[in-house]
Amino acid sequence: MSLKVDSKQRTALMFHIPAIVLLTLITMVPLIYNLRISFYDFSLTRAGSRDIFVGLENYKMILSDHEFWNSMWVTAKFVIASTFIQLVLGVIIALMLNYYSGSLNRLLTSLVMIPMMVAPLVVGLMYSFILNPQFGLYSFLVDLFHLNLSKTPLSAGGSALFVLILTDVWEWTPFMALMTLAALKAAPIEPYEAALIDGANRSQIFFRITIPLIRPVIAVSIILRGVEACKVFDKAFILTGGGPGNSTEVIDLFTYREAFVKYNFSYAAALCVVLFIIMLIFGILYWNFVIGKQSND
Amino acid sequence: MTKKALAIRRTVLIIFILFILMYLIPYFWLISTSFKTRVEAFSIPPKLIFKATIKNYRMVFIEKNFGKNLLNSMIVAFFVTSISLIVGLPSAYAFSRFRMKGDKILFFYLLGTRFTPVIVLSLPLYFIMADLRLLNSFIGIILAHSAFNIAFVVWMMKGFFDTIPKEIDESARVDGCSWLGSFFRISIPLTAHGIAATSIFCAINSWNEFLMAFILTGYKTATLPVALPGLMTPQGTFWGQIAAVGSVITIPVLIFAFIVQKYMVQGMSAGAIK
Amino acid sequence: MRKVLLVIAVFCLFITATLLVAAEQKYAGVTIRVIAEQQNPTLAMQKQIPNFEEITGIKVELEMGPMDNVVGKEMLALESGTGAYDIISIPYQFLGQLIENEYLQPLDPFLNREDLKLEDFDKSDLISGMVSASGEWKGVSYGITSNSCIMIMFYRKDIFENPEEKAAFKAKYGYELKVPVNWIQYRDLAEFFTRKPGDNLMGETLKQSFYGTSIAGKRHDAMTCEWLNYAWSFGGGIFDEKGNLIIDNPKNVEALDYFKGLVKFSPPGVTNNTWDELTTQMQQGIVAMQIQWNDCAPSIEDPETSKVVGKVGYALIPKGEVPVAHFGAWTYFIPVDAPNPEAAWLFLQWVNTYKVQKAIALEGGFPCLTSVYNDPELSEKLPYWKASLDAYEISTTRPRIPEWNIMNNEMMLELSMVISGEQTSAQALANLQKKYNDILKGKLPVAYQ
Repeated sequence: MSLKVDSKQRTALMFHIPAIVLLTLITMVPLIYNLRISFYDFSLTRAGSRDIFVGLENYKMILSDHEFWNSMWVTAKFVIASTFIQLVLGVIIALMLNYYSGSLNRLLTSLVMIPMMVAPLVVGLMYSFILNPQFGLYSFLVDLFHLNLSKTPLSAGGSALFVLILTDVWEWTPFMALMTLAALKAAPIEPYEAALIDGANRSQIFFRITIPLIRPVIAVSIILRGVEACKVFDKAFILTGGGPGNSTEVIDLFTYREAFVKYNFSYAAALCVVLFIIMLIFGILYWNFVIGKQSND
Repeated sequence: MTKKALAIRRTVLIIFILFILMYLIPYFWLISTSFKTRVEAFSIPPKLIFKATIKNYRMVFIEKNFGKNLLNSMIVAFFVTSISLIVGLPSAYAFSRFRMKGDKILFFYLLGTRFTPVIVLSLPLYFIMADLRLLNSFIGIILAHSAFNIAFVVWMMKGFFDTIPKEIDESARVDGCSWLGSFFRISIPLTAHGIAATSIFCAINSWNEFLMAFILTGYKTATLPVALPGLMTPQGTFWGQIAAVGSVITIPVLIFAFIVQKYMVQGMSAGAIK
Repeated sequence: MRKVLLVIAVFCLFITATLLVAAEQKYAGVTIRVIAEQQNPTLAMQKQIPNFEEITGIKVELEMGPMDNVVGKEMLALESGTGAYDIISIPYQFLGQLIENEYLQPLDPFLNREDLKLEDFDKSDLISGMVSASGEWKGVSYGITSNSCIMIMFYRKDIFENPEEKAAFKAKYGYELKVPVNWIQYRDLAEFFTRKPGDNLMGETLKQSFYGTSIAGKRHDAMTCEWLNYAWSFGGGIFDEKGNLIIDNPKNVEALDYFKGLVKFSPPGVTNNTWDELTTQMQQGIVAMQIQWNDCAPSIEDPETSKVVGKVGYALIPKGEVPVAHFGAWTYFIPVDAPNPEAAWLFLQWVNTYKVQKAIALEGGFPCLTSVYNDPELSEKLPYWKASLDAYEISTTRPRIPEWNIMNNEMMLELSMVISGEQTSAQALANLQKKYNDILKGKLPVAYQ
């Protein structure tokens, strides 16, 4: 009996090995490399600094770095606002899509899917063009409808962040919508039938039945989107570059700047380690609350 | 349904469609700009009806040699998809069929790769690839993208493999088939649709990616997104051409996405939900 | 016997001739890789490349891109030491950093090699001040200028010469409307020419706004380049003559306040402006004056993209306490890991021959050869030529110390926060003083720049 288990284990291992090897090479090794460099003083500004060992100095610098904390704050604002708006908008769109069926549904879903498929960099460029104060579509519409809005939202800190959030919402709301739609479609019909028999009205059905049924999916979507919102690099890079000032300097843009503009490689590596730890915490939370919960269901 | 209910339903539908169309205006604007001349693209009021020209496409893809970048994107996407499948399919199968010691850890690790911000891996990979003399080559970026996609392949395909009843495997084994044989001759053909969908997602992920490609590719191997910022020069930004490249980056993705629409949700959640 | 001697003599002559002729063809078949900024002068050089390939048989692979991309790629390539490029063109302010990291090969060994001499290259024709500013460090020559440029003032001469405008200006400000020579006049003109739709400009009613000036306000090199003009001109700057840090000097504060004050006379969205946007705005005809690099002028004079061809005048930047013109240059260097340094050296000489430099100059570049500099054809053909030459006489260079890249980045951040209104000039400069002190700990005063 134990022989059989062993051979099955071995087979399983063999099936997993290519993945394990590639992953180790491309993810594990770099992560360790980051850790290692972070203990040195490597920066292109100081020759020979690659070999100067400084221990936890970079981490101490991060904790006292005013701009790092600003970046974290900007990222937090961004993630929370973006995810929340996407959630609300996404659920509404999903409900609407669910309302109609058949080929109409397929067509609408196809249209809704479009923003998600556009490369993030292209989304950034697209909005860059539209927001151009001289000849952009946005500027024209503000004039046309005599709106009391700034024609240069990218020039002021608050509105620039809002624009960034907006582009993220535009791109990823379809994601929320489609996930919610799938949950709605997979929802069992019995609770609804029972409720109708009991004479419940529309809003009662919505709040007492629909929402609880799709809640797990929503939770997953929130976490997935929340984490991936930290990956807004492409759009931030091309749309605002972190500015004006540092009002849209999300954390991966900040890290990129330290590494590839200022060439403070060790400091950037330390930032990467910190970022990774934060994401790890998110991952563990996710694992416990979502996957763990599902295996209990 | 009552007449009133029907009317409400219709009105809501119209509003919804209008909303979606307005939502998509930025994208339509991108496509239309790619067909405008510079003068028309910058005109105020913006022109909805104009004389379409393919000059931008010709300028950027032929004269500015973006055709090469297009080819690079295709090469990278192709190899990334192939490698991700070759490496990911067996692993997905193993997750579906076997319980191995430590596979929970592996599963968690795969989750981690999806959660990791690209910059965290780009920085060290830059140095590692440089040391291996793989910088600016295709190999570097293909390996990097593949690693990111494996998690995706595993999760998505595990779901598909799960739909095949274990009894089919059992009967094949009874007939003397090895696990590998069963994998190749039964499970793979039966999940062909799932594999097709997964491949398309892999290709899309690689095709759209910017940061890793930016850091790991060079002049000769740059993919389309990487070459795109090069159109912003001190002589002015060539918006028409940017729009042209942007359109080319998005159109194939849309076509393929439409084909796998059925699997879209599965792709996005990729095993995150049972 | 005489016959033998004759044969030997002819043979020697033949060998010598072959050696001399083949000097240039010595590296035929080799491919060299060059990287440079994508802009007019580089494109002009690119057009001349077939000529180089003909003379030497060396193939050239030219890689181009926007400034940030190119610099990033170069720094990383140099760091990885993999011989990615034979020649790099990089802004001269990186010189200190490159030397510190020992990335570059000195040029003297090449200059002394007779067997690598390119026929048309004349070392004595190089403008020594320019070349030493862009490529010399502590007496050792590492590079030769590739694209240089200088900051001057662009202005709409058609508007300035309009009699109605002149009369109105005199009535309002009490002196004649002419090309501004100091900052007070510049500001008056900027204010005077900022008009809303419905206002008059040159007798016509405006349909869109018109602006007196436009500044580069994005968190980008363009802004620090522009602002340094104001700072130096007002009598400030980063270091004093002895190399002490004076960035929080009141004259700098005044210069920054002045710079910020121009925002209200600029088209909205200054925080998005780099050189591209400034050029586009001038081309669209919505701006009266700008402080700009002279190599953007050809785009202004390009009938395909510009609405103001022939309407723009070029002059020196207004004088504050001192006259200034910010000198910028991208320099060609040969990295230590260049796979084909000799072939690269041939290229370096070729780029600095009269023919190539003139071609570059005609397309907006600024030559580093005296012969081209003084060429009368250029003054005739190029409306911005005289102003450029005058500016060069008073040119000022920025620091080239290894720490400058980081200092520049900090300056970009602090200045952009002033432009966006998040902090005052005094605050920003005080921050910079503190940051610079940290960065330059132990190295002050910075005697050599």
